[in-house]
Amino acid sequence: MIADELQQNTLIMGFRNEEVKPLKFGTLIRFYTNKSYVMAEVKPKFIYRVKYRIYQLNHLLPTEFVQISSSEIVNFNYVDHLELVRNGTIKLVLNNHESAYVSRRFVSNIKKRLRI
Amino acid sequence: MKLIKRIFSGFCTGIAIGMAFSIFFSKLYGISYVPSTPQFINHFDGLTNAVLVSVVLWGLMGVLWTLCSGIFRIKSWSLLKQTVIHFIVSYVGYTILAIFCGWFPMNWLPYYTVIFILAYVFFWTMVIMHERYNIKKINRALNNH
Repeated sequence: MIADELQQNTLIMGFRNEEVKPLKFGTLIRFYTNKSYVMAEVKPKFIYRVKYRIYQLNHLLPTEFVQISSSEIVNFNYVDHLELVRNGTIKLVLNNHESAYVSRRFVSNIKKRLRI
Repeated sequence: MKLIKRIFSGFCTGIAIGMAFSIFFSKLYGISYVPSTPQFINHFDGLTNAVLVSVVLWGLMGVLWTLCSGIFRIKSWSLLKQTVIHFIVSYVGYTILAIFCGWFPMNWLPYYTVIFILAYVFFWTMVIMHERYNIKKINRALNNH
């Protein structure tokens, strides 16, 4: 029961200006690297800095979070669809119409997480 | 250091492949060993020099091959850019080396060019079809969420 509680609530802290806030997995849309910082985007549109690296987050986050490139992790509950751009890059479109780019190396990772 | 290692291994692989092909063709035509075409060998006084130059050219082809494969590891480039740059570098490089090797007469150049282009078009089509298939599958899984 405590484990469930820990899964639902979270241990990942978000930092913004003077504010420190525990981030709930359900409201987290994505993590991305900006310069050398890892940022978290939280619903509806808040950006927090987190003190983990992308590879560390990979081990902390539940299965709906999938790494899509070396610098980005996305919550697949907020993904609308993927599309192939003309130049061969793969674009990921979120429910809020924002987009991200998927590395070809991580496509198999996505398939594994979606169990296909 | 890694680069030097890659260049060295490319050089050796190139020589091995060139050697295999020249032995194969010498056997095919039922002649004693020659590294390349008669036109090529006529440029040199003595077989030793012809073999020496051939070996160096094969090695350079191998080096070109390993350096070109690095283009697909440049993550910030799109697949299109990677493919086009790879095509240009390898086409220019291989054409020059193949002409030096005397592998084909100059009037074959158009056919060679067409085959070269077709190989890249084929590669591009296969990769795109594969990605399209993957994306379709992922989107279907997303809709069932």
